[in-house]
Amino acid sequence: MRILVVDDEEELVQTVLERLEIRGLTAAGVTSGPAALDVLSQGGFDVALIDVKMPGMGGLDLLREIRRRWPGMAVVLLTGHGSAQLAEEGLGLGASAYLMKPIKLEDLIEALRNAVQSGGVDG
Amino acid sequence: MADEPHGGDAGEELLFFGQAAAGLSHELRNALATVQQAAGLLEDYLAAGRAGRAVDPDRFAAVVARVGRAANRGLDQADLLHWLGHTVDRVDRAPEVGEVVRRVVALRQHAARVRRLTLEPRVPARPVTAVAGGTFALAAVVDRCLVRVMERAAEGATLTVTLDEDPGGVVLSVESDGVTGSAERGEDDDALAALAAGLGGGATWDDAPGERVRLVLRIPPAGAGDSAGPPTEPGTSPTER
Repeated sequence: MRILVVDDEEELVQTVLERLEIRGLTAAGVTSGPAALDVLSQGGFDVALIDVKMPGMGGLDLLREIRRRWPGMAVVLLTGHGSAQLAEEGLGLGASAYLMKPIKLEDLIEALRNAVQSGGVDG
Repeated sequence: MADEPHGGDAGEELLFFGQAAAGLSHELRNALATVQQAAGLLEDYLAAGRAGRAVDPDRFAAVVARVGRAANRGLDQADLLHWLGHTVDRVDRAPEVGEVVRRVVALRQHAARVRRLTLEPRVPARPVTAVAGGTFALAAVVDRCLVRVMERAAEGATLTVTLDEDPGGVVLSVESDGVTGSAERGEDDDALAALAAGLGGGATWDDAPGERVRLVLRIPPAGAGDSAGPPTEPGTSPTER
């Protein structure tokens, strides 16, 4: 499972990447939506973990663009913004899960695995 | 907050309180997420050390420093939350307007960053206290002024929030250097006008089309009472469309 972590919290990205790698998972990280699209266009990723609230291109806009360009890619949303409306919108756009920060790494990995196993797009 | 002087729109005040609390919760969760993951990474390092694998002390120190930075960021948010909660306290002294402006700007920093806006408060070093109304009502109207200009500012703009005094009371100017993103005005302006009127003051748009968006809030001195009328400077009152 190859994971792309997208979050404007750079130190969180660095930390999560290192923890994933310690567990034998392959992961890369970026801090913006456009950077995520650049990396994804190189191919090889199974799932994207995306923060919802980012400067410029937000997580939901990024999700829409991923759906348009790579319809089968699994996406999990992670946010500190616990809005039911945002969660509904994200899941409606095809995210496999909408997770709240902070979250235990084991729970995060399980959600990522479930997203990949379910084939990306729910519903 | 039974004896707290209110602005003119309780719904708008609740909107301010709810949005501010939600924003603080978001920022606290971000800081805690970094603390949590960094603490987990330190545990991973310790487990590796116990298993006989070498752990680079510099990497360990870097993660400890990461925990410290995130914890301090969380403490800043907790401090803002504490302040926000106490804005409704019943106190005899007048609010320090400069502190209110600084705190409200801090509350909106994340929302501004998401929209690629820069907020620059310019507040006198001297205390500014001689206004009518309590801290909560003042914070609500300052916040609504900031939000209205943020809504109309173009992405990437810098918003200068300037507090000043003149014989007519306190003057707060919120000005965006970006080209106007939207010229729409409506119910939000009416709500802002009601909040300002609740403090005996008024809010006035003073735009330069294509160059800047500017909103000026005037609040009369404490004791001015009903003598404080609407702003008289050129411009368009939010209620005069």
